Amino acid sequence: MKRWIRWKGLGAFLGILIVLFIFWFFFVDVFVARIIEKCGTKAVGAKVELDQADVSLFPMGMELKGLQVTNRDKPMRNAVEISRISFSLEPLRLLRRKVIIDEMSLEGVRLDTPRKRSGAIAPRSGAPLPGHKSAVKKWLRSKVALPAFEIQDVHKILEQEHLESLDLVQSLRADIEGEKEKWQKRLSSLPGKQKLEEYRSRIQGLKSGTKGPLGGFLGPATELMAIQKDLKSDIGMIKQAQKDLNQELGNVRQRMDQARKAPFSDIERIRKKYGLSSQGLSNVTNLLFGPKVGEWSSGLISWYERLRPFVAQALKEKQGPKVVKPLRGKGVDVRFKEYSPLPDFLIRQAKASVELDAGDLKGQVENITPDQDMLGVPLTFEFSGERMKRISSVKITGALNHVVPSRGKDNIDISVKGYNIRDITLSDRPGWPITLKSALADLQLRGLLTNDKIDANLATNLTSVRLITRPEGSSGPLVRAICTALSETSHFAVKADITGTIDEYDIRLSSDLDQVIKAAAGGVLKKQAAVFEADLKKAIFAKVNGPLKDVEGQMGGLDMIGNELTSRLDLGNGLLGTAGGGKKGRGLKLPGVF
Amino acid sequence: MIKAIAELLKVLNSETNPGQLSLAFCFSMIMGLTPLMSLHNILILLIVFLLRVNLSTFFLGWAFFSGVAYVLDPLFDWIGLHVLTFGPLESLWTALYNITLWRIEKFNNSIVMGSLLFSLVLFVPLYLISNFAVRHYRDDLLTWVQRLRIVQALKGSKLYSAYQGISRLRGNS
Repeated sequence: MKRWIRWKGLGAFLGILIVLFIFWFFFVDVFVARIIEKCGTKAVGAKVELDQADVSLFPMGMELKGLQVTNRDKPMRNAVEISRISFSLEPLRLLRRKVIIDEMSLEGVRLDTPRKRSGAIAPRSGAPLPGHKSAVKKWLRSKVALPAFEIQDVHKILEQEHLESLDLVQSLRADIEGEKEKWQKRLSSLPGKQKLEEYRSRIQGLKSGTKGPLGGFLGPATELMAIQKDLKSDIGMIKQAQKDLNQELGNVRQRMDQARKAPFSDIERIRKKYGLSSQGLSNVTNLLFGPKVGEWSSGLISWYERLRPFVAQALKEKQGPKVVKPLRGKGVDVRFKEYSPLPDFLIRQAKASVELDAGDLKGQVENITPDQDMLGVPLTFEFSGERMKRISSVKITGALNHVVPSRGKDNIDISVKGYNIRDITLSDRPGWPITLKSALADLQLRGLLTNDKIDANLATNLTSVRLITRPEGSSGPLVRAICTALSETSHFAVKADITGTIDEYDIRLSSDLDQVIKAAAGGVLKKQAAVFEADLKKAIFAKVNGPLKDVEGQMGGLDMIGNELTSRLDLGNGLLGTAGGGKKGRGLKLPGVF
Repeated sequence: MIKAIAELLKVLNSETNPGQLSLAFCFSMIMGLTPLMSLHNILILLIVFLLRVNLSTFFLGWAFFSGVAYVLDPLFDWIGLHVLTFGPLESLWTALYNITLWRIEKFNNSIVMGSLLFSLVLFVPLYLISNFAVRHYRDDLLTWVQRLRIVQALKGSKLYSAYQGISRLRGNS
């Protein structure tokens, strides 16, 4: 036995283990801090920094200090900064690769804090905006356009605007000119009065017995038939030309009618574009509160999307062993059914105190895990604050329920009472600056997200309102009327309904402020709109009337061609009657013939 | 490394039991082929230190088999995945999966399972082959190797003399 056992070796083995343990004891904190930074940065897509990590073995736990998570969209700001995080771990479960934290404490949580250095890890230029941000931009473009409150100079408008009526008249004028030339050429190619008069001479010759050009060879009857044939042919040509001209005249008259009506279409189009309408007054709510509501909703959704991967894992198959994480060179881990299943990561309760500008919020989040289906209970959160610096009370409750992964249902309720609002810029547009200097607000937000479909509503009541409006000296009567109405408002309510999907949602805003403004400025608006329309009409007709009269004159030229054709046709028909080619019994009686 | 090779040559040429050399080589195979941070490797290390197996052979073999493992990883992955997903064994793996010790062992990783099975299956054959090879070397090849001119030249070199001197000094101290 002694021949095979080396007792010194046991000592060497223990020595190696002790060295490893000492190495771990001194360097584990640094390793853990670097691992948290590395994994956090990868997960967030921007720098995650940690000042200090302290790992303890008895009891097993960790304390993290000075955690900063960069806002990926604003690299010079932290999305969240936490002064201290402490928690204890269940060691036996950790050996089974289960991170189970019974209670976590987060102290000094602050949102949107400035950074000294940029936390960007890669340039993001040209990257598409997240879906919800594009949705807000789209909505702001469509609903929060500044309504026209000032009458604009119609002459300046007409310098920029293209008049379709003028185009129509000019094109008609060119076409009529072309037609006129064409018909004059055709008229000269048709049998004229001189030629028709020749028929008269030939008929007279036959009547008086004088031999005509063919008289020497043909008898009078044959000569008469030849005249009738030629005359009928010429009359036929004239008739065809008259028919064509009448058709052309019909078309031209139709276009002429369109040209006469065209200025009214231009007036309507430009009036809608530049004119004043009462719809603009109803849009004041969107104009004043749209950007803020859009910003808040986008912010909430942005936070939701950041947190969602930590609570909602992709749909998983339930039966049989599962193969996960195929990593090259590292093999794959095959997972089997657990007799007492527990998520790989679970924080049963996290208590946090959040430091906001308005005051401190305290609360807790329960059951944080990406495997809710395994745990069987949803994540819930509850935060509240009383007698804060600028808020009487605030309560935030909600749940992220992904217990059935295919039927996620998340909800949030926020109730704020006595929020002391100070200096919020509602509009910084030139000529239209509006600031909510002070107000006392009660706010109620209820949001429900079912499988990416949002259904949220926000109701706000503002009292003791002080709105500051400073219209410029050159502002028109309408803007002045609106500003006066706003500055005299002492209370109003705003409601917002948000529906759609996370990437494509619509915000409907309504407020009794619209009614106040309508009542104050509706009359002024109608008057201004009527003046604008009259000016516009006058200016457009001044531009179009001249060319329109020219076209009417050209139409006269075409009518004259028509008259000429009629007179030739009358002459030809008369001659044909004389030559006996017309109606029965009215023919020519030749001497010695018939 | 040169020292370890010299030590290996020395024990090969000495009267050391061939079993001590072969066993060291076989344990080094398990240690080298399977991922280092596995629970069973602590046990292997304990056995190697506790039993009178040749440590130089073990450490050289470990380095050698670590290189081989890099090439054989895809094969281990394939073996491990097939064994772990083999239907009739599912209840066994499920039972082991629910025991903490086996979870620490990471038996459910395809490369751990594949390389461990591969090295365990080869353990006994490699032991027998190594034993045979050491004996054959000592009986038939040693005299021939020592007569080789290159070995003669190496033994006559100043470097070898210096090494011998240092070894003697260490042995005496």
